[in-house]
Amino acid sequence: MTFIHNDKWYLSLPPCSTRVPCGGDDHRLRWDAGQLDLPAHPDAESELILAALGGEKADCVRIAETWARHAEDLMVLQVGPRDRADQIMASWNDVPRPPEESRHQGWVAMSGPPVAMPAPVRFLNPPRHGPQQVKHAMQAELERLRERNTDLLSLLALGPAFLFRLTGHIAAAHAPRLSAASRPALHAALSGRLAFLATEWIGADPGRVTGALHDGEGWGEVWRGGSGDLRITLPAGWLASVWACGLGLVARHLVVAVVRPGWPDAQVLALPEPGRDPVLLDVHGTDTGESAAHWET
Amino acid sequence: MDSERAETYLRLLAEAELRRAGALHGPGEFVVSGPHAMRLRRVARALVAVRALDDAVADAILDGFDLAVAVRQPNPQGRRPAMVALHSPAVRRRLARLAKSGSHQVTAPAPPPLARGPAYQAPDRVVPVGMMIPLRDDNARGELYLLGYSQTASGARFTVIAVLRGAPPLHLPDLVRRLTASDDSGHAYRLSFSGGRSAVNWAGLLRLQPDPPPGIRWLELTAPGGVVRRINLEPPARPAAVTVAATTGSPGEHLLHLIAVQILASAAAPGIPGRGTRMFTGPMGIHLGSELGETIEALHAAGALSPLSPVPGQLATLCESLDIGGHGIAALPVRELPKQWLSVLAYAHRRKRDLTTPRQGCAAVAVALPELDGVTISILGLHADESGTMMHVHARGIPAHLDPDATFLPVFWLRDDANRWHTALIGDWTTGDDDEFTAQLRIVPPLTQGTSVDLIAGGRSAEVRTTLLLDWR
Repeated sequence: MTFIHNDKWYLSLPPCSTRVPCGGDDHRLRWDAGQLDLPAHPDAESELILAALGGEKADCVRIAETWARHAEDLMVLQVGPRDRADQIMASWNDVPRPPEESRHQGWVAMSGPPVAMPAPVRFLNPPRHGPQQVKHAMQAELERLRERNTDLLSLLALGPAFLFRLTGHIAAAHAPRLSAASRPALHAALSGRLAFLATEWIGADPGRVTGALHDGEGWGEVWRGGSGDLRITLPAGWLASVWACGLGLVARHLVVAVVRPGWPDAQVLALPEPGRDPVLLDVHGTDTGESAAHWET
Repeated sequence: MDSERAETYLRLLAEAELRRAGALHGPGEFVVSGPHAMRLRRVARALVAVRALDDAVADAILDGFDLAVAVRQPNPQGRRPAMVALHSPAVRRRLARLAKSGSHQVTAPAPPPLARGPAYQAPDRVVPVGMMIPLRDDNARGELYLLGYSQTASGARFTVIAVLRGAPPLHLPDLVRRLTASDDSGHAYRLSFSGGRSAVNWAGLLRLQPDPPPGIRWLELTAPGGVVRRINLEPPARPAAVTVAATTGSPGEHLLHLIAVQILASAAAPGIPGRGTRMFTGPMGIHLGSELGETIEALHAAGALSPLSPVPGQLATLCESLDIGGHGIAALPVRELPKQWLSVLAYAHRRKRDLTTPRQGCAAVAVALPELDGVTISILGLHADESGTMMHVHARGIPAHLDPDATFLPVFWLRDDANRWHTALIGDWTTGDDDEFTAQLRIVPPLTQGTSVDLIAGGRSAEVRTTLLLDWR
């Protein structure tokens, strides 16, 4: 039995779109078959060249750049959604404006009530001698963190459908080349998502569910101990080809692999319960317009 | 030890804490500074302390956790999640570390060093002094005791104790400004005091400015009133014998011994009853409640502590002997405790221990210990008064990125000549220069008598032993 390759993990996903604030308007941003499209900016590459020469950079383009910059960022897995019901409350109102905003129109036009700015960060141990280089290093670190958080908030503000897909991109990027630097984050990402799925699947206590990375032939293993412990071993690519496509649980079966990807029809390998052999299921998806599609046998 | 396992453990704990906080399905409690975040931070600090986890990796995980929590909460007071996360303890700690690591780049506004090149590579010099300098002015008088002298890359200083009498009480820093010093080559030096004041005396450092050259043989100190004292700074002809042996314990056991020492020192501290649950604080923060068990679990997971180690069971016994409940240690208590623990426990349980008058005075002793885990420690004298016994130490080689409360000091044990054991923890004040650090360690229980103590400094990789001959004055 062959499973899908990581570079085609998204074949079981329908396109999705959202609207983002851009230059005083709301523009549509679209994801389709692994690609991010900017319909309002048909020549985004030329816009990038103009921006490099000192022109304005459209916010849509900026968001697409952020998306590309974080397409392998494991921190997104830690911050992003664990399942459909996981409510992330970031909106465009939460995204700080980039510094250039003072010079041109952009997210200034965002709607919503004004947001109070927090007090400046105070240091536990301020520099005793106040040297410029120390201040600069601290300022640079603070700026780096602010930029990273702004990036992440922009991605979160795109909504759950995009976040599921971004999770898929990240997992698929790392799965074929697991390393000591990526394994811990992928292991935790897998465990965190499986804990919720297992609760829905067999009513498992999420605190007793352990996920582990499968690195070898086959789909992995599910083991249930006498005291309610549940250990699920799956490959890192499962996060992309199964979870990100909304296929984690179909008809009360835990999907462990995709055999024939596709939208809206696919074939998956799924476990009816721990300890049983997996079975092949032909599944059909319905686009609900939410985070992930709804799948049925 | 396995850093990948340590990182995985911390990340899995972050997932579990996010779930426990109820943050994943609807607004839960705000946990950026809540108990869930605190638990995660404590485990992160323990894993960093045993070098199982890199500081930057731990910070990244804590940052991610804070942001994950922040974006799942209603905007607190209209704050943006990104800004809430920027105020998190992990970020503050990192910025504080940057501030600390940068401070060594600062050139103090002092005269240039004398007769030495830009790259000062002379070995540290540690010399016992044991000299009293009388201090007088119109209304009061006192004595300044010089305990030890050390000269390292960051400068030269005496460890000092001063007793001042009169009304109004004298201010030692004012008096010190009136002292002058010159060396065997005729170079003159200014002196400055840094340290603290108790009800009884002043204790701290007398720094020489500018830095003396490495070959200095003696220094003459002139006090107000024309009193002149010549201080021999030649290294002793027969330095104290020091032995070094590799330790068999794991990094995790070392950390647990540090925690045990905190508990013992708190239980045996002056004025505190020996039994009963209370908060124990120290270099690793509070380690009671279920936190001790969580720390041990994390050390096991990171491979920093063997499952067969007896130390968790010994810690459980220690907690139970002090009526400390809820320690969370899964290991069963064991019957046998290390002899040092038993000795301090016996003191802690003694009802009338506070009636024993500690030894008064000071002892000029100076020993440079060999490097332990990258840190070189020198003992620079002891002093004792009604508040207890303090040991003056200087440490060099402390990584700039370490927090002030990090566990860079070894576990100290001192055995007096009555075969009683004492331990030592960072006490009243500390001061840092570059990668150097000077502190007074409080010896618990206080030394009461005797002319010598055997000192053991146990690091992660090795153990150093020496004998300090104490000539109390």
